[in-house]
Amino acid sequence: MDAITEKLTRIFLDVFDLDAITLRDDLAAADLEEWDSLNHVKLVVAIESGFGVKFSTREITGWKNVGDMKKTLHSKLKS
Amino acid sequence: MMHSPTESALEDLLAASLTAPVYEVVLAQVAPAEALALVGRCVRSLDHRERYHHEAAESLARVAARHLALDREATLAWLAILAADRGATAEWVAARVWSAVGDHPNTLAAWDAVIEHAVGPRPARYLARGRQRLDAGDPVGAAADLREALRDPCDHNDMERGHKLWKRLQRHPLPSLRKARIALLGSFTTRLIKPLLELVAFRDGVAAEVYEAEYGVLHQEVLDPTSGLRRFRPDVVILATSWRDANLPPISADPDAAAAAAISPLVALWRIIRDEMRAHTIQHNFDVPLVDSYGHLGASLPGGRARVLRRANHALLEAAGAGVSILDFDGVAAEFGKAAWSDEGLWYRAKQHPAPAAIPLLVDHYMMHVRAVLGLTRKVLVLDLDNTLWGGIVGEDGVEGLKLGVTDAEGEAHTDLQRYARELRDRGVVLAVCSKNNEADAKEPFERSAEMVLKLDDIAVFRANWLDKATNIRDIAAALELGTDSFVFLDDNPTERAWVRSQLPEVMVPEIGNDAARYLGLLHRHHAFDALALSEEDRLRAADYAANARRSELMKSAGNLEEFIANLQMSATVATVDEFNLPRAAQLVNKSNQFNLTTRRYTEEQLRAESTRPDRVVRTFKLRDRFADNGLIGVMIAQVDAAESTLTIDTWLMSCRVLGRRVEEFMVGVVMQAALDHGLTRVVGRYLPTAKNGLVRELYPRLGFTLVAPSVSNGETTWEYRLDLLPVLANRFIRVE
Repeated sequence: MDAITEKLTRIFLDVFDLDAITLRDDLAAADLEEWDSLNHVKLVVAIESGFGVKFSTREITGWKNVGDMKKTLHSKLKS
Repeated sequence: MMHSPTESALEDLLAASLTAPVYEVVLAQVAPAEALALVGRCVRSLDHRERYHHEAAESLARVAARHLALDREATLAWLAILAADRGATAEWVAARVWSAVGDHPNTLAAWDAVIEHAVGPRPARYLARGRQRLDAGDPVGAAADLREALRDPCDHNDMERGHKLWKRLQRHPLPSLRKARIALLGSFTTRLIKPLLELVAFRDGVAAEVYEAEYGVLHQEVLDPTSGLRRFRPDVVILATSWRDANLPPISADPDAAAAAAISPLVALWRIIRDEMRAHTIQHNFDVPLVDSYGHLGASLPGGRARVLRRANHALLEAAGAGVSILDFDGVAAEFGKAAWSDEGLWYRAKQHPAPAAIPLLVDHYMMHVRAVLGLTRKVLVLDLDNTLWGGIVGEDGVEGLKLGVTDAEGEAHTDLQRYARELRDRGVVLAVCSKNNEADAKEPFERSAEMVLKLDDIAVFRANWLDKATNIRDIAAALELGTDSFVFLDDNPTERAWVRSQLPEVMVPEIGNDAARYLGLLHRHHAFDALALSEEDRLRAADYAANARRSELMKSAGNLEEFIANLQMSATVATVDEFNLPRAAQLVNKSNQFNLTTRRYTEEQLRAESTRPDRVVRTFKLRDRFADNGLIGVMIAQVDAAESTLTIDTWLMSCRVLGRRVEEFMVGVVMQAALDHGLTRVVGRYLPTAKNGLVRELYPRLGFTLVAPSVSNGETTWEYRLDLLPVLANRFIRVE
């Protein structure tokens, strides 16, 4: 597992209050009971503060699943 | 696989001060068998340099905890070796890994060590131990840790984590907290606010049940008699609105009308909340936004949006009467920092306002209002002296050597703290001193130094001795007749703070550090003394507590009671009921339970009517002594019966604040004289027992009255005093003004 996925996993566990989760790229909000609109807001806030990045509205609204989130994160952290 | 990083490479990383993720990334590449040894070396290397990086410690702990699943035995053996290390990083990593092992005694011992040595951020260490305590079946200990974690302002993440522990705690019965039903009605989403409000309420000893409506329906919720809000029956309703609710154009043609129109829909809600729901309203004022198409003109033109919003904020304050308090939302925004106050992205996506990072500060302000509504405002500030009220140690440096006043930077900070305390005192907060000192040394600066803002007279109770401070604080509370739960204790010494906290957890003990320049800010941010209104009685009451305490000091020094009473130098004003004293007289008549012979209640109108009847003697008594003006402290109403030549005392009550000073003797003397003035020869008194007035059961016989009608079924007794046989009772202690 790469460092970004590992850290992202930790944030998911923390926000959703879970003991374990596998962040497959096709994991989407509909697959996870805890992933409601409130937790989505918390998740974005936690990822932004955890990685020290800021997402644009277009980036966030464009996410369909974890893979999309990671793609955005990778591009942010590279630049 | 990458090469194993050499020790020197690790040293390089440490020297470059690269923290957290780097360890994890590097150690992730290491063969599992080597990982533990490397973690150990990193830990020792950090501790050897006495450097503690929290993120680094967390990373190292995670690497070690992962190893647990691979080789439990080896990890436990490694932990045992780590336990011999004494450094901060070692303690934190050990505590984290023990938590992963799931061994309660060892885990708790490890966290105890972390807390004892104050390793890592305060919220993190107390939350971690709190979770372990709850897992180990100790909800009370977990609750105490959660409160410790929240003692100082926390960031949003810490509070989100704290709320998870709070939620788990809800399943356990905890010592009773003050209950409050709080409704949160927002014109924006309140879903991130609710959990944090629940959490800070818990911190402040309030079990809050929070009702939350969908955002944007506050008018419907209040107006609809069948709404969820109405069914919820709140004690407090928070109207969480923002500048957007004012709905203002960039320029208003009629600024006054625009401001009035902005607030009138809200004012209409307050009335319903107060009159129909019997609840208190906490109303946001309008936060003035940074973005304005008119730029500076928005604030300077009479009709500019920013200027009208400020005008509307004024109008809110003017309109708020009893049962409504205005929360300075714009002020909270300024305190937080307006540049970061709004997260526009979150607003457009989720109708979230303000930014999540500002919510901890906002809920702190909510609780300031809620505490005041519930009467949980603190009343007493207990001050340490050396290095708190002044710089230096008076017993060693002498009065001249103390740092105080504008000639010294540190002294100036101490002087400002004194000024703040003095201002608190002027608005009704009681000040006390608790210092480890010889009393004479401790008092000397107050008596001799021109730089002292605080005078001995400002201090209600002065305790300078060598007893422990918790004992002294209990003693101060007893002298003031106030509960220690209304106390705040200010001391620069962390040991004293910790001791008082451990002995008297209900006392608020702010972490003020040891830099005098920061004491004030760190004390103020707790809003411990904030009230919703300031009445003349508040000021008087504070002076009163101080006077009571000084009276009891005098009691200790006076040889006997008579001497003590004489030393009070009391003087009384006797009057009938007039328009000036009617409200207070009615309040006393309707409130007094203990020193109240017949417990008959009169409304203001009835009392006014009684006072005008020719066959009534109505007397009110005001009492002053050398310490304080006690105000109106007693009322007597008697009926003239000329046929029987009798004056019958129908009502007699007195404030318990003036008990034990022979005031009752004085009062009855006044009524006896009135009887003589009416040409009557007998005064009759009745005692009607209630659950609360046992105090005065023996009052009449004590004053020399004799029993005429013995107790019947309800315990009522009737007593007489023959003025044709006995003299009017005189009182040498009270002078008549």
